[in-house]
Amino acid sequence: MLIAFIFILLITRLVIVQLVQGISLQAKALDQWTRDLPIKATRGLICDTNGNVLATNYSTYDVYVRANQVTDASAVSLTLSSILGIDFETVYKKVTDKSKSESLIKMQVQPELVEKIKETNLAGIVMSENSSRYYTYGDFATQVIGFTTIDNIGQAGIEAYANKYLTGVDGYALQESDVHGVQIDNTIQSYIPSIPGLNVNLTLDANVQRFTENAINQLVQDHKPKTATAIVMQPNTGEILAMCTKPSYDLNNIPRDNVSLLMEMTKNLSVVDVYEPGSTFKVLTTAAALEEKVTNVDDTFYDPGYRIIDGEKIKCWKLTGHGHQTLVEGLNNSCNSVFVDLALRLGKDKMYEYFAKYGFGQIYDVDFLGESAGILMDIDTAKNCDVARMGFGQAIAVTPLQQINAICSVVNGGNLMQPHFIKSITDSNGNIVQQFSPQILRRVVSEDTSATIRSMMESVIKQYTGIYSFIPGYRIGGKTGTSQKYENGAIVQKFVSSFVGTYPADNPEYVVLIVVDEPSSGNYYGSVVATPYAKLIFQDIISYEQDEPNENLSSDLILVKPTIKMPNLFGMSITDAFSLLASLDLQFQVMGEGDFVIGQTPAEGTMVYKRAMIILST
Amino acid sequence: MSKNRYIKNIGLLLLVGGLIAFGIVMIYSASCYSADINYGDSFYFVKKQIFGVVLGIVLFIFTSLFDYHKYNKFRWWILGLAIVLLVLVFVPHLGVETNGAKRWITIGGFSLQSSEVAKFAYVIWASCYMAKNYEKMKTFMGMLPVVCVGGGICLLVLLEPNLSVTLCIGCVMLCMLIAGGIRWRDFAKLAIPAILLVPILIIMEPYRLQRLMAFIDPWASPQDEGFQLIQSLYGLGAGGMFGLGLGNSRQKYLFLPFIESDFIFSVIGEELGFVGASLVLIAYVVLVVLGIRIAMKAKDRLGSYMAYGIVGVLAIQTLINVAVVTGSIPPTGIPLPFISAGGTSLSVFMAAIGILVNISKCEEKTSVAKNEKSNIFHKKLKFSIK
Repeated sequence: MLIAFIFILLITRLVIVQLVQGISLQAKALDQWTRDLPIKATRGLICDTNGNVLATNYSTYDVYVRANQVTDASAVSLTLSSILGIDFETVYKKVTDKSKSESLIKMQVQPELVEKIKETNLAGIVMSENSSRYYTYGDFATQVIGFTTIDNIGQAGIEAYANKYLTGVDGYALQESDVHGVQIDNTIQSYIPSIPGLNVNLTLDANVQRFTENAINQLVQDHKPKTATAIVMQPNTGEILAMCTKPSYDLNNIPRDNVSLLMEMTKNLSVVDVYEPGSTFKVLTTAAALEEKVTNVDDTFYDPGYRIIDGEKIKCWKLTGHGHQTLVEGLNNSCNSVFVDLALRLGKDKMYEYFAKYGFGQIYDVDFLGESAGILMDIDTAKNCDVARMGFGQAIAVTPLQQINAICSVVNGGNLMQPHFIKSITDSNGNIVQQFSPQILRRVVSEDTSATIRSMMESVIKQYTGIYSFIPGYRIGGKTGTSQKYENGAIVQKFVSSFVGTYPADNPEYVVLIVVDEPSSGNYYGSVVATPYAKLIFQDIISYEQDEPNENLSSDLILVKPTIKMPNLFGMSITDAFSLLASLDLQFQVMGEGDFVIGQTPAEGTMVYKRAMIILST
Repeated sequence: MSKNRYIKNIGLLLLVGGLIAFGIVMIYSASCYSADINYGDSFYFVKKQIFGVVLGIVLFIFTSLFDYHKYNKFRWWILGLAIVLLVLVFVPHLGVETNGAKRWITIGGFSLQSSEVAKFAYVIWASCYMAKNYEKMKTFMGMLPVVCVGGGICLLVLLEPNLSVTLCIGCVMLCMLIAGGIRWRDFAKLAIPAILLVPILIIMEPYRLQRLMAFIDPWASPQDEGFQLIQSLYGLGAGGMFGLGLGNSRQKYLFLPFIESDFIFSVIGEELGFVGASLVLIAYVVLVVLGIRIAMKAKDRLGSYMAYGIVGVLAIQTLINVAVVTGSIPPTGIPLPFISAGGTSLSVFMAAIGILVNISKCEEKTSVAKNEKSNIFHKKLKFSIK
């Protein structure tokens, strides 16, 4: 009876714990029984203007071992060390360490390796899935696209700028788990799905980008510069069609070991770096002078080889002088003295007014991080001799993007456009969330002035090639630039060579700027180091656009008639396709890394020109 | 004859069998996850327990057939064996050290918890001594050997260290003394120094004091001393009236350490609720009542003392275990008889039930033990627990 009484006491205690305090104890316990498992939102895609995917996601796996579940430690260690390429001893130590419930073996393992591990069916190996970034074309628009951290946070380029769009909203599952947080199978209590990140559609055109990459790679191979950067823009919309900086690296194999080198190669020089534009700037001085009517196309100048301004001798690059020349000849000859005159006729205030109109010394607030404003001498300290030098593009530092956009404004009819990288933001179903339309910032010069500049730039190219067409049958405009570098206030034997070109010259759809820093091939003239590579880009664009040649323009009609009928290349191996195209005197470029042709541009049966560029997809 | 002894105690045997079977189900439910993680076999503890059952049946058959009077002849051997086992714990390679305590010995792949054997060895020895010298038990010198042997065993267990089993054996000793008819003043002579010793022990080893504090307010140190108790209360609290259902414990996902042994009652409360936990407690009450009936009907003092001792061990362990799990006394590790995972404990308890069966076979119509005496025993038992 009395023993029963003690039992009753304990039962009373049970009533208190289980029934009276039960609910509150349960509420406290719920916290430890469940974990919020984040369901990672997939990162948005980065696509080009035509919807070609430039950056996407794929699954990788983290591989763990649960030592206490392992039945055959040496087999598990051998499998993991051979498949994952890790030292056997290291793995074996983790596999046999029974003091830990779980040990990490390797992170970010490729799915095909995980398949191999799964095939062995060994007990005690656990895998968890992660999403990693994959860049379709590898080393392609590297500095523009950028990359993410291992946790999928944008770190550079568009990945960083548009991170807020690309990052989705993580969902979560309330999941029961054991004391170590290991989830217990089939116990999801509530599930809130993740919202995938938005897709960022760039103004970049993967085809034009490919042409640019190829041309600049060729340039780097030929002239071994310190850096080379190129931009292709649509002058009427401000859309950046291609942007390429070398040296670069494969975005799928980022050299994270050497951080300072990586930082250096990750800079998008077209946007963040400045250079002295040199002679390409003369186009802008001319446009301002024409607009302000301080000169006209028939105006004549005399160049003895130098001008003396404020007692300082400013030399023309041709020390013997160009003698008498018209304004058009002055631009053709790239005669410094002519532009010294124009700058001084405009005067300091007007010159600075135009710098502001062109966008120099200020940022566009472009959709990219780290934009530089360039370096403009303070207006109060600038002397006449400085203004005179600015007339031919010295004593001023600009970004390649500022330079090309200013050139665009003087060839597109006179409007300075907002340059931009992002065309639209779409959700995962393809609905447009935000659209970035072309935006006119301001009128810089009149339509008339613009027309004059277009024909002057075409004349420069004609003069450059003499009687032969630059590209037979097509109207190209352009201007070269070569500037010597200053280091610590003294002029050194180092050069920046550049070229800006327009196509078609009379109504430009494409403007190309190539800036080559310190070519080391012995040649440094823009006409040698930069111009031929812009020509490569234009040729590729012409083939790609299938633009008809203008027969009246050509002195070599044989070249320009479409005489070759496109064969069907579908399903051929790359090697076969190559020999076939070579026998037809056609050039080709390959998109993708496959071994067989799955697509061709132009299509079968199209008449194409000799040496036309054929694009093969694999 | 042998048929009779089992049929006569069919209620007792069904109850014990039921508790053991129920225990195996609960052990599987409580340990399947942790056993899979730690040993790669979710039946690891179940297999060990079934081995304990098999061994227990063998021992039970032996003790139920073995005339309990013959223990008298072997009482010194039994006591000696128990002490040897307790000492072997300290022998390197034989003794197994876990969590800083040496409680196990391993011989040829078998592991054995010495103190489980020692409890019953002491009961047998003390019963034999008291039956033989029951007149002397009224004198201080007469009952001193019971105290000295009990105290000696307590000391050995305390050195392991295993405070909870020490406490348990101490209580059993008290039961035996009261059953043997100790006088009040002799009891006081022993109790007062013993009560004084407790605080000294605690001060000597401060971690025991911390464990004591943890029991009073487990939330003060939820990650350290209070952890196990909080986890036990979480399990009980989650169970509510009817429980989460068999197999649905969440505490078994490694939250509650020793869930399959010392804290299995918490899982019972979690999965089967207040109703299930109470039914289990009632089963123990019935078991104890049946045991006391055997003790009261025993034909001689030896049988009566022995039965009281066995029932005493059973009752004390059950009470301490449930009190610990429900947070009523400071947490100590002591298994719940028949249910907790642990081969030694299970098979030794089954052997003890065999002795009870053997005692009941020989029972007389008139009980030797007087009602008055057994009442005192009950009262003191309650006193000692509280």
